[in-house]
Amino acid sequence: MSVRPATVGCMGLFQRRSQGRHARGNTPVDPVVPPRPVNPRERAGDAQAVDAKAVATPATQPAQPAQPARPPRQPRPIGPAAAATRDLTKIYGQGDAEVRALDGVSIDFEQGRFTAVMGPSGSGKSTLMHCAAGLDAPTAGEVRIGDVEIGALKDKDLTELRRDRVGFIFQAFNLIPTLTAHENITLPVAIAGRQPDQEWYDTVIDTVGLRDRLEHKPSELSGGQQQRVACARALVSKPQIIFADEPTGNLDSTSGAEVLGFLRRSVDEFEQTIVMVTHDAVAASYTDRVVFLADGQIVDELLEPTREEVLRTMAHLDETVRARRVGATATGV
Amino acid sequence: MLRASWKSLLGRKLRLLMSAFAIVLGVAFVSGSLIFTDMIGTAFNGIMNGSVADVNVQAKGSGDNVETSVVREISPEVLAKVREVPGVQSAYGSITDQTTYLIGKDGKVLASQGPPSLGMNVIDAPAFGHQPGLVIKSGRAPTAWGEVAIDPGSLTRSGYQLGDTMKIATTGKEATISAKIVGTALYGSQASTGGATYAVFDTKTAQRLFLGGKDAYMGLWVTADQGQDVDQLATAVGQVLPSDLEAVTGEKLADEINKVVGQATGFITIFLLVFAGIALVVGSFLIVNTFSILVAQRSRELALFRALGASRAQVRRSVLFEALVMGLVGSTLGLLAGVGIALAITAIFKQIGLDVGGAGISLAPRTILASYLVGLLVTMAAAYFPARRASSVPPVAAMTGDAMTGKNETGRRVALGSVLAALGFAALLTGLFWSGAANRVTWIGLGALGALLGVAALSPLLGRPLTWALGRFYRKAFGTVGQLAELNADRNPRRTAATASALMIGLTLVTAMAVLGNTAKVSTHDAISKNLRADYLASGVSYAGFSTTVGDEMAKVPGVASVHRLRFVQGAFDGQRATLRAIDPGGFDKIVAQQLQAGSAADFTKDTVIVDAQEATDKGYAVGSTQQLTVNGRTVPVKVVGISAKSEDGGGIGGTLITTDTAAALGAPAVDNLVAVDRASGADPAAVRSALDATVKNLPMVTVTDQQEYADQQAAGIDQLLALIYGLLGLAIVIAILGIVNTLALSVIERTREIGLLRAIGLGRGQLRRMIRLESVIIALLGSVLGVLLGLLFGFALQRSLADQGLTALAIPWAQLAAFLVLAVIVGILAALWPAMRAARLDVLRAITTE
Repeated sequence: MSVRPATVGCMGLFQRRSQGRHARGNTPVDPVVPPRPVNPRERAGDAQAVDAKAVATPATQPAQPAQPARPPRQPRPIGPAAAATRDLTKIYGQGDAEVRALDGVSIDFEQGRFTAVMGPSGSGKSTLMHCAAGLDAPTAGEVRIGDVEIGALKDKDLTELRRDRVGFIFQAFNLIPTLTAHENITLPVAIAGRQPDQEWYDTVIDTVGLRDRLEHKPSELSGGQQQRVACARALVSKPQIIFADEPTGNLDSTSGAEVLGFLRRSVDEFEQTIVMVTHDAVAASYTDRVVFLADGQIVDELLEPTREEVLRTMAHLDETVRARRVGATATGV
Repeated sequence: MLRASWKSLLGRKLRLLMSAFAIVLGVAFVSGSLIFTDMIGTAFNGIMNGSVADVNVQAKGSGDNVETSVVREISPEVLAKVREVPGVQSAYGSITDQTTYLIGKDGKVLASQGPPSLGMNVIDAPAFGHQPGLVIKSGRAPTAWGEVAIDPGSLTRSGYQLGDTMKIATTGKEATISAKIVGTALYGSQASTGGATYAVFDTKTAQRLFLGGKDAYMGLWVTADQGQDVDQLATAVGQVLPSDLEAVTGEKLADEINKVVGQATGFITIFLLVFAGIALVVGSFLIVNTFSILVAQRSRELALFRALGASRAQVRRSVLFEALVMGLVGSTLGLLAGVGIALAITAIFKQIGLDVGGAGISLAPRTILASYLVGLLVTMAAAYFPARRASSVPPVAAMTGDAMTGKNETGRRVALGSVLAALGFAALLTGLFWSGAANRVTWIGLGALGALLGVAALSPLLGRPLTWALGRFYRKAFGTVGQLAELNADRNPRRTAATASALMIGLTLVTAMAVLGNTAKVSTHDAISKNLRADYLASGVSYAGFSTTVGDEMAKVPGVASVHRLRFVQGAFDGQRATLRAIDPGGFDKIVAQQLQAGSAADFTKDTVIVDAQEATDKGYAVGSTQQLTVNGRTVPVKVVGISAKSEDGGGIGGTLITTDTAAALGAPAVDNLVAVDRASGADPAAVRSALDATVKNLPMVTVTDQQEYADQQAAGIDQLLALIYGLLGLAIVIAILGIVNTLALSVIERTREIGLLRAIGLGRGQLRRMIRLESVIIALLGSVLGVLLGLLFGFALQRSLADQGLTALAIPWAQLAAFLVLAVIVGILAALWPAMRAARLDVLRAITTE
C-alpha cells in the first residue's frame, strides 16, 4: 500500500479526497515513531484521564499547514482495543421468523484507528454498530468498551457510559432542533453537568470550521453543516470511541467529503477512534481498515483500503453471498 | 376518503380516547345533572301521590302559594257537614306541622336543611285514586299521648328501636316532648321520604301540640265513593265550606306541589348545569388542542392526500368525520358515566339530608338528546378550526414534511384575542365605574367572559415573559435539562398556551371565588362585630324556626337584661311576595344597629311597616303612605312609618319590617327565628352563658352563640358554599390536567426521534423524566399564574359591584392564592407522570430510527 492513486474515477471526488489525504500528511504525528508514547492522549479505559494540556498539543499543530507531504504511511502500530466484541450474536424474532442478524462476531476496534464496517443490506452491519455502541442488547456474546463489559451494565450506567465514552453520528436527525449549534455540540458535556474544556472546544470548532455558525439553529444550517455539528458534538466530550452510522448517507458528495475529511483528521490529529458503518466505497476509502460483513459474520477485511479494492471486494462479496444463499435455498428445498 | 379517515382514526385510538375523555367528563356532568333532576322528580311524585286525598279541604290561598303556608282552623262542624255530602265515602280532619324535629339518641336533630320535618295526625284512609295513604310499615299506629310513629329512615338514623322513647322538639308551647316509638309509617308506596322526617301522632296529641289543644283541624282528607267523579265531588264539598276554605282535587294539589318542588330542583339543575358548561368549555380547549396536534403530526399524510388529488373540502371533512366519531363515542360514554355522576350527586345530597331514596334511574329522552347534542356540538365546533387548518396544508408539504409545525400565532388570532380582551375589559370597567349602567353585574359578567376568552387567545403572547422568566430559573437550577424543558415548552407557544388556557379558566374562577368568599367572610365578620348589639344570639340551622318558649325562658335567666325576637314571616307586601321580618315594636335597633333615614321608630306599632331605602326609592314608598300587607292569606292595609337608612357596610336587618303583633293578628305561626339576648351590665358572662345554654339543652336545633361564635358560624357557612363550588370547579381543573397529560403525551410521540437521540448521547432516564416534568410545570404555572391574575381582577370587579350588598372590604386571601400556585406545580408534576414514564420507556434504538 503506497500513495493513494488519484487516477481513476471521478476526478472531482478524488481531487478532494487527495486533499484530505494531503491534510492527513500534515499531521504532527511522526509516522515513524509510534505516536502513542509521545502523545499523551492515551486513555486506557478512562476518558476523564485526558488532561487539557495534552489535548492542547494537537490543537496547535494543524495551524502549520506547510509541512512536507507525509511519506507513504506505515501501518500504524495497533494499540489496545477501544471497543471489542466476542462471539457477538443477535437474533431477532422466534421460530420460523428467526433472523440471525449477528452470528458470532468477534472484532476489535483498535484505538486511534478509523474502521469502516461494510456489507450488503441485511448483513448485520448496523446491528453490529448498535450492539457495540451499547444501543442494543446482544442475544449472546460480549461487548467491551475500553475495559468495561457492557452486557453487565444497568441502563443508568450504560447511559453514563454512552455519555462519557461514546460519541454518535447518525445518518440524519443528529441535532436537537431547539438548541443552537453551540448548545448541540456541548450537549453531552452539559447533560453530565460539566463544563466543556474550552481549549479543546475551540480546537474542535476550528477544525470543523463552524466558528461563525455557532449561534444558528439546526434549521438554519445546511445538511453538511449539520453533520459537522454532529461530528463536533461527538468529539467534544473526548469519547473513547465514535460510532458513525452512514454519516454521509444523506449528503451530497461535496458535503460528504468534508465530513469524511474531518473524521479522518480527527483520527490522525487527535488520535480519535472511529467506527463507521457505510455502504459507500468512497467513504470506506477514507478509513484505515474495512471490515466486511455478510449474513451476520465477518467475511473479509481490508487494511489501508482504496476505493477500487473496496468495490472489488464488495462485488465479490455480493456474488459469494448470492451463491451461498442460492445454495442454502437449494439444499433447504 | 372516508375509509382513509376511518383507518387513521383507528390508528390513533389512544390519543383520541384521551381527548374524548374531556367530552366524556363534560357530557357526564350534563347527563348526570339531568338524571338527578329526574330522580328527584320521581321521588317527590311518589311522595306527593300518597299524601293527598281525593278531595282536600284547605285554607283558601294555600293552593296559589304553597310556600306561604296559610293555616285556618277547621271546626268539627265543618267536618260533619262534609261527611254529609253525597259521594263522600269518608272524611277526616288532618293536622300538619312542618317544624317538628325528631331528636336522635345522640341528642342531634335528625332533620337537615331543605326537606321539611313533618308532624301530623294519623289518618287511616286511602290517598287519591284509592292508592294507599299513610301506611303503618311496622308496629302500630299511635293512639294516645306519649306515642309516636316515625318514618323508617329516621328510625334507623335515630339509633332507637321500636318501643324506645325518643325526644321530639316542636315550635309550639310544648317545646320538647318524649314519646314512645310504637311504629313506623310512610305515605303510599314510597320507599323514602325524600329527606323529610315524619312524626305521626294520634289526632288528640296533634291538636294539643299544633293547635293549642283546640278541637279543630288544619285540613280535611276526603275520600270519594268508588266511581264518584272527583271534580264534581270537589265542587259539592266546596259548597258546604265556609268562605275562607276551598276544596281541591288530589290531582290538582299534587300538580301544584310538584310545580313548587320543580322550581326548587330546577335551581339545583341549573346550578349543576352551569358547572357542566364550564367543564365543557374547558374540555373544548383540550379537543381543539388535540386536533391541532394530530393535524400537525399528520400534515404529511394530509398533504399526500392533497397531492393524490383530494380536495380541500375532502380533507376538512375527513378531520371533521373523526371529530364526529369522537363526539359520538364521548357522548355515549358520557351519558353512561352520567348515571354514575347522578348516583354520586345522590349520595352527596343524602349526606346533607336530601334523600331521594330508591327512585330508579331513568334516561329520559331529554337527557339522551341533550347529552348527544352537547357532546357532538362541542366536539365538532372545537375541531372546526384545526380541520380548516388541515385543509390548507399545501400538497408540497408531502415532500417537505414540516409545513405545519413551524406555524405560530397568526395575526388574525392576535387581533381577535385583542379585540375580545379589549371589549371584555371595557365592559368590565363600564360595570365597575359607570354607575348609570343598567345592570352592572351583567356588564361585569359579560366583560369577564370576553376578557377570559381574549386572554386565552392571547396567552401565547402573554405567557412569553413568564416562560422566559421560568426558563432563566430552570437554567440556573436544572442546567441543560431545564433549558431543554423550557425550549420544548416554547417550541409551539400556541399549543402550550392552549393547554395552559384550560387550566387558566379553572383557576380564574377558583381565584375569583376565593377572593369573593374571603371578602364575604371578612365583611360579614366586620359587619357583625360592628353592628350586632346583642351579646348572645339563639338561632336554628339556616334560621329554622323554634318555639317562642326559648325566648321566654331566656328572658327569665338571671343576668339577662332583655330579649328581642326576630321572626321571618312569609307573605306579600304591596302585592309582591316577600319574607317579612317581624320584630317587637320597640326592637327596631336592638338586635343590630340601624337607623331610619325618614320617619320615626316610635311610630312602629301594630299595622305599620318600615321599608328599606332601596325599596322605598324603587317603588316610591313615602312615610305616611298606606300599602297592602298579606300574611296567612289575609290582607290588611299598613302604614309606612319609616324608611331604614342604607348602611354602607350592609348591616341592618334589611327587608320589610313589621311588628310581631301585626303578624300574630293575621295568624302567622308564633315561631321565632332568632332571639337576641342582652346581658345586664355587671352580670357574669360565663354564668349567663351557661344558663342560656341550659334553656336550649333539649332543643338541639337551636344553638346559642356569642358575637364571635355567630360571626364564625356565618363564615363557616360561606366556607361550605365555597367548598361546594371548589368541588364543582374541580371538574374543570381535572379536565385541564388531562389536557396537560394529553399535550405532553402527544409531544412525546412527536419528539420520539429527538428523545432517542438525547438518550443515545447520554441523557439518563431520570433526566428525561425531569425534562418532561419541568415542561409540564411550565404549562401548569403558565395557566395558573394567568388564571390567578385574572381571577384577582374578576374577584375585585365582583367585590366592587357587590359593595352595596355588604361586601365592603376587598380581602385577598394571599396565602390561599400562593397555595394555588404551589398546587399548580404539583399538578404539573402529576400530569407529567405518565407521559414521562412513556418517554423513559422508549427503546433508544427504536426511537432514533422512527420515521
